[in-house]
Amino acid sequence: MKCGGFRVSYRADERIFDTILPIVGVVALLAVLCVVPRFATTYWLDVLNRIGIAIIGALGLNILIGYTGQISIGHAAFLAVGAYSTGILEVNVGLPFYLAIPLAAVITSGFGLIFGIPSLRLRGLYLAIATLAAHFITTFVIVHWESTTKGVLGLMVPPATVFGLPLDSDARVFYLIFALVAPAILFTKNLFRTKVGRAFIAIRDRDVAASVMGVNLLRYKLLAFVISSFYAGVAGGLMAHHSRILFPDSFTLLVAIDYLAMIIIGGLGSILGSIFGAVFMTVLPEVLKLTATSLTGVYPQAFGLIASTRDVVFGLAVIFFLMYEPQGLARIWVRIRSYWQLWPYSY
Amino acid sequence: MRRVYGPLARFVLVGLLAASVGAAPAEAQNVIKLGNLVDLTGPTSDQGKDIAQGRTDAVQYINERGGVNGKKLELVSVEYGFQPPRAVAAYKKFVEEDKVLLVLGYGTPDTEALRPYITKDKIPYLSGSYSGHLTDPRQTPYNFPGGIDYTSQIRIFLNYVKETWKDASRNPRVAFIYADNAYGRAPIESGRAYAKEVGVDLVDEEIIPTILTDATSQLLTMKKKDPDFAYINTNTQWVPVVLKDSYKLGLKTKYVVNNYGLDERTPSLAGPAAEGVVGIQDVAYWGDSVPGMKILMEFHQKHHGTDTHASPYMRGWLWVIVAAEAIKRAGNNPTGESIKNALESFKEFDTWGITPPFTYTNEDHRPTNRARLVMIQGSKIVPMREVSVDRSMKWIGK
Repeated sequence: MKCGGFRVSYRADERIFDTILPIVGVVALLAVLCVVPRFATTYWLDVLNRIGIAIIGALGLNILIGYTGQISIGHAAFLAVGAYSTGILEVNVGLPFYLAIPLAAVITSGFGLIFGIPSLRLRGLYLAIATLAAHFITTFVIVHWESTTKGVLGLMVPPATVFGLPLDSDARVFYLIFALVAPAILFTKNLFRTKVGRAFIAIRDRDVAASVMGVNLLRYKLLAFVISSFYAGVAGGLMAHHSRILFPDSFTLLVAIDYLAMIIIGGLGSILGSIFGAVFMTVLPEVLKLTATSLTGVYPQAFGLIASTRDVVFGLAVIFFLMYEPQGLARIWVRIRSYWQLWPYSY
Repeated sequence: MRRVYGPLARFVLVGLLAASVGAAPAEAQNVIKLGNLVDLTGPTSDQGKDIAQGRTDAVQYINERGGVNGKKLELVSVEYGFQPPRAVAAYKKFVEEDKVLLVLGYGTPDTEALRPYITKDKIPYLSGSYSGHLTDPRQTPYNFPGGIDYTSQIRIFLNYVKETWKDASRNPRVAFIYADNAYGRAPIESGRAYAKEVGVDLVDEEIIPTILTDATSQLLTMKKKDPDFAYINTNTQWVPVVLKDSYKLGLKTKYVVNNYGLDERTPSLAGPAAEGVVGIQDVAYWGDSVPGMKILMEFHQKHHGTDTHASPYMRGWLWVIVAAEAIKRAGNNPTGESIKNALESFKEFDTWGITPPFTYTNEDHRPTNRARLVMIQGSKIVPMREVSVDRSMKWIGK
C-alpha cells in the first residue's frame, strides 16, 4: 500500500487522480447531477444553478487572486459585462446563446485586459483600489447607457433555445450551467499543470524573483486578468440566462465582496476551495432564510428581529470558519481526508 | 481534531435542525398562505419595518376573528433588502414550495421585474409599489398596486403647480428629483408628457442615488435652472437630506413630495427645512380620525403599545384588509385566478377609511384617483385639501 505521495514517473506525477475510487466518485456525481432536475423543486434547482454560476466565477477569481496574487475587487464588474454583453448580443444582435455567451466572455476578457493594466505597476491594496475603478466605471456605464442596457429598469433576456426547446425553467438551465461548470473545473485543473499555471504561481510567490528567472510579468499578469475575466464573462452570461432579467443592482460591490469571501473561505489557490466556497456562500444565506421563515411562522411578531439578525449570523458564521481554519474549507476537507487515508498515522 | 470539529458540528447540526423544522410543514387544508416580501435591512427599511409590523398585526387580527371563510391566513415572510435578485428567488419559492395564493409585494424594481412571472403563474400580486406600469390589466392582469399610482401623483403635482402659479407672464418652471432606481423613475416619463400637456416648463431633472447622503451637487445644478417647484420621488429616509441641503443652499424652490417620501417623521427629520413642503397623502396618518384607526390603535396598544408607528404601518394593514376581502369574495376554494377576479369586483370598497375607497376593474387596476395634499407648517403636518385626477385611460400602464 502506498503511503503519502509516491510517484515514479512524470506521467504519474501529472495525474489528477492516483486511484480508481475518486474517478468512480466523480462519474457517480455526474450521474447524480444528470438526474437531480427530475426530483428537485424549482427552489433548490435555483439554488443549485446559482451555485454552478458561483463556482465558475469563483474559479476565475481564484486564478487571479489565489494563484497569481493579484488582488481584484472588480469581479462584479466583469460579471456585469459578461451578463449584459450576453443580453445585448441576444436581444439587439439576435445571436443564439452558444454564440452570445462565448463572445460575451471574449468581450469581458478585453475589459479584463484593460483594467488589468494597473497590475503592472501596482500591488496589493493599491491594485485593489485600481480595480475598484473598473467596478464604478462599469456600473456607471450600465446604469446610464439606457438605450442599450435599459438602465435600472432591467434588461430582459429571452430564454436560450436548444434545437427549438426553450430553456425557460430552472431545471433546463441547470443542464446548461453544469455543462459549462465541468469544463471550467477541468480547464482550471489543467491550467496549473502547465507552464502558464506555474508562471502564475511564481508571480504570486515573489514576482520580482519570477521576473528575474525569466517569467514575463507583463504577459502573465495580463493573461491572468484575461483568463479570470473570461470565467467571469461566462458566469455572467449564465446569470443572464438563469434570472432572465438583468439589473445593475445585481452587480453591486457586495457581489465582488461575496466572491472574495467565497475564495477566502473556500481556500485561496485551490480549485476545491473555489467549489466549497461557492457552495458555502450560496447555501448559507438560504439556510438562514429558511430558518428565519420557519421561526417567523412560529413567532410572527419576531419577524423584524429575526430578519435583521440574519446578517449578523451570516457574518459570525464567516468569522467562525476563518477562525477555525484560516486556510479555508479546502484545508478542512484535506485534513478530514488525510485523517481517513492515513489513519492511524496522521502525518 | 475533536476540539475543532465539536463546536463546528454542533453549529451545523442546530442550523439544519432549525431549517428542517420549518421544512416539515403542517400541510393543513384550512390555511391560506400569502407571500410576504419586505425590506428590513435595505434603503427603505424605515418604512419596511412598519409595513411588516402592520401586515403581521392585520393577519393576526383577522385570524383572531376566525380568519377568512373559516380558514386562517398565514404569511410566508421573506426579507429581501430591496434587492431584486433576492425578491425573484423568494417569489420562486413562494410559488413552488409554499403554494401561496397571493403575494404581498413591496418595491417597484422587484415588482416590475416579476411582472412576466406573475402573469404566467396567475398569482395576484398586491404591491406596495404604486408604479404606473402595473396599472394596465392588458399588460399585467395580476398586478394590483395598493394605492394611488405614482403617475397620478405626478399629475396631481403638476395640477397643483398650475393652480398655485399666479404669474401670467410666464409658465411655471418645475424640476423632478428622483431616485436612481425603478421606483424613482416610474412616473418620470409620464410626468414629462403631462407637463407639456398642461403648459408647465420642465427645466431640470436631477437623479439622486438610492441611498442618499448628500444632495448638494445635484441641487447646485438645479439651482442654475431656478425652478419654482420641484417634485421629489424618493423615500422618507432620504427626502430630509434633499430638504436640508436645499435649505442650506438657500434655494427658493417649493417642494412637493410623493406619498412614500413624506410621513409623520419628516418634520422632525428635516427640521426647519421642512417648512412649507407639500406632500401627497395616500393613507391615514397614525391617530387620524378615520373609522379604522380605533381598531389599529387598540390592537397596537394590546400587543406592542410601547413602540411608535407612522403611515407605513397603516399601509401594512390596508393591503391585508384588501387581500382578505378579495379572498373572502373568492369563495371557499380560492385560486389565484378567482382572487384576481374578486379584486376586480371591488367597487368603492371601504378600506376602513384608511384610504379613499378602492375600485379595481378589469380594465383599470388603479385603485383610486383621490388623495390629499398636506403641508408641513410649524413642524406639523397640516391637511390642505382633497385632490383628484381624472381616470383617463391615456395614462393607464404608463
